[in-house]
Amino acid sequence: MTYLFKLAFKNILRSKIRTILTFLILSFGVALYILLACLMAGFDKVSIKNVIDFETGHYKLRSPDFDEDHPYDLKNYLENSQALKTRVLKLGFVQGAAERVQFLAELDNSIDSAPVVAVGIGPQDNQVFSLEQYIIEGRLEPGGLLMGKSLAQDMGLQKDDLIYLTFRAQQGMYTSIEMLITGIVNSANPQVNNSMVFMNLDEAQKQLNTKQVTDITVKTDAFFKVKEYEPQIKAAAPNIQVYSWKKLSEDFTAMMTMKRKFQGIFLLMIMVIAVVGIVNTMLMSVYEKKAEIGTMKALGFTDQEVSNLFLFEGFLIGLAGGLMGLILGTLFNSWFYFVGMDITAMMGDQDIGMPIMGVVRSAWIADAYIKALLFATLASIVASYYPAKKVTKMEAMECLRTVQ
Amino acid sequence: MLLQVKNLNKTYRSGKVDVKALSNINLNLEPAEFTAIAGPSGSGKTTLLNCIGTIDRAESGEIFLDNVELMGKSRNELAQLRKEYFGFIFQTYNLIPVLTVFENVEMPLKLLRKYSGSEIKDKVLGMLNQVGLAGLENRRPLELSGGQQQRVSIARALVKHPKMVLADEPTANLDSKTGEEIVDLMKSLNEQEGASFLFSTHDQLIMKHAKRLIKIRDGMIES
Ligand SMILES: Nc1ncnc2c1ncn2[C@@H]1O[C@H](COP(=O)(O)OP(=O)(O)OP(=O)(O)O)[C@@H](O)[C@H]1O
Ligand SMILES: [Mg+2]
Repeated sequence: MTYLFKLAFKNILRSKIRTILTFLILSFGVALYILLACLMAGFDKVSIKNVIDFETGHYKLRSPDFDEDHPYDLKNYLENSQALKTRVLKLGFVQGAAERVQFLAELDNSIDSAPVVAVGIGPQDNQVFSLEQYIIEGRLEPGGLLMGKSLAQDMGLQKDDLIYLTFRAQQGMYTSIEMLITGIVNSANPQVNNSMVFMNLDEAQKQLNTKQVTDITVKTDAFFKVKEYEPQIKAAAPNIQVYSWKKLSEDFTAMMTMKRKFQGIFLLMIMVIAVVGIVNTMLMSVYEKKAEIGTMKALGFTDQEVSNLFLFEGFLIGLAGGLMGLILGTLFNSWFYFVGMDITAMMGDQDIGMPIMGVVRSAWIADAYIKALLFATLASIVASYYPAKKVTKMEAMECLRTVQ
Repeated sequence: MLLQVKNLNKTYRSGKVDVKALSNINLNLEPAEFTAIAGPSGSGKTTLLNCIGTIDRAESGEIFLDNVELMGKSRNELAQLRKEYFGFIFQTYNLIPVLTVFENVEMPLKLLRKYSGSEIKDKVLGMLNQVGLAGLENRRPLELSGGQQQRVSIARALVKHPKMVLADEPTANLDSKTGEEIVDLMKSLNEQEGASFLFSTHDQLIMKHAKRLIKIRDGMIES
């Protein structure tokens, strides 16, 4: 067995251009798969972070009457939010809770207008949301407005400009107020950048003529323990709708699942290419080595032994191609990990279906490495099976006659 | 008696035509013989050697090696048998090009799986010395002349001390001088090692070296 393995190894070492090409294609496929998986994982990671940090937190607590189809409806407001917040904050794993009031408004710069989501944010907002860290100019001042950078650019607005905000207050009356832009925020979440304005919670409540909030957003100590914490939160908030970030971001988690499937298809394609390439390479090799096969059979190699020789050869091509692919993949991915990819520069303001923008970096996914190597090797063995079977059937005498 | 062939028949079927390659061959070989099979092209020399060497199957008849019948054995059993009993020398040498001279010669010993690394080394180097190739063990076949390659092939056939060495036209690809050297080498190894040699040729000069000559024509033994 070891002898056959060494023989196969020697055959590989002195292999033809064709074998080297197959090997390269295989390693390239493996490398691309690894890059793809790691990039996607990087995107997912940033997406999740951007959704949690800017939109959903880990949980949202909403009124039992909250209507998901009309999320900004004023009827959705949550009563007794202060008491609820205090109760939730008592849970050991809860790190922060923030009240927000959200409503639809029309932003008017006296030339143009644009629909926006206006958000009133409380003083503890930064315990849950990352908004404050992304303010690039000014800050949220009393009576002032914080505004996404892209929105400001689109509307030709700057810090210290005045705008009108028009919205419907609790009693159904349209209200129009003049506000000063006191800060610009450039967040990593496109929605915040393109279509949101922020003001102080108490001012928003005053304008809306309410004491209530749209929701309380809760942040825990671990975002992935969604299932684990949910019952406790629900117990602390009876008769309140509790939504986890997973549920709230179903749209893009569904996309993540799609991407997984896409990755699976890609892996399958690599396998098919590998199988076709290796079957072809091995078959050619079998025909070229007819005389050798005949000689070996005459020397007393059993059919199984000669066939194993070719199986080992396939296995070695797969393993070596796979390993080479891992190295290549690591090289490719290093670039996207250290340098990253500027999504905004590449795609502009286009909606790419993921809450990401700016430079996004890739991640390292051990799972992809293991899978790729396993599949490459497996595919090669499978691909060598048919040529090896062919070798088994070949008659020593026929093989020898071809050369004499 | 080492080998006994009884009423051996072989017909090739190529398309619709049947070619009778061997008809009623009877043949006995003693240990340590040095026998040539001679006959014109197409007379069945290769077929006979292949059938005896168990790499081709006759359709009827019997072959006994050391009183063991071979025709009824499975492919696998025959392969095991070839490992131990038969050495092959080919007209085209048939060395494995990716392997060195040493690795080519050690192959039959590796297959037997009963010798240690150092035993194999001693045997291979000793054998290479016997065929006059001492010092060339690290060359590859293509770095050798035809005569030298045939010597490697002879070393490969004899290194395991087989009972029978079968050689199909071992000198046909060599010039007559080298051919004679090769037959001389085979003959001296036949005397030293005691293996029975059966080789085919249609070269008069080579036939002269044989201690026994079997003439074959149209698949039948003439004398
Ligand atoms: N695979 C085959 N299919 C059909 N006919 C074959 C086959 N092999 C050999 N024959 C025929 O069998 C007969 C004997 O062939 P064989 O090769 O044994 O002759 P030979 O004596 O070795 O000839 P040469 O001196 O040319 O090598 C020939 O008529 C040949 O055409
Ligand atoms: Mg012949």
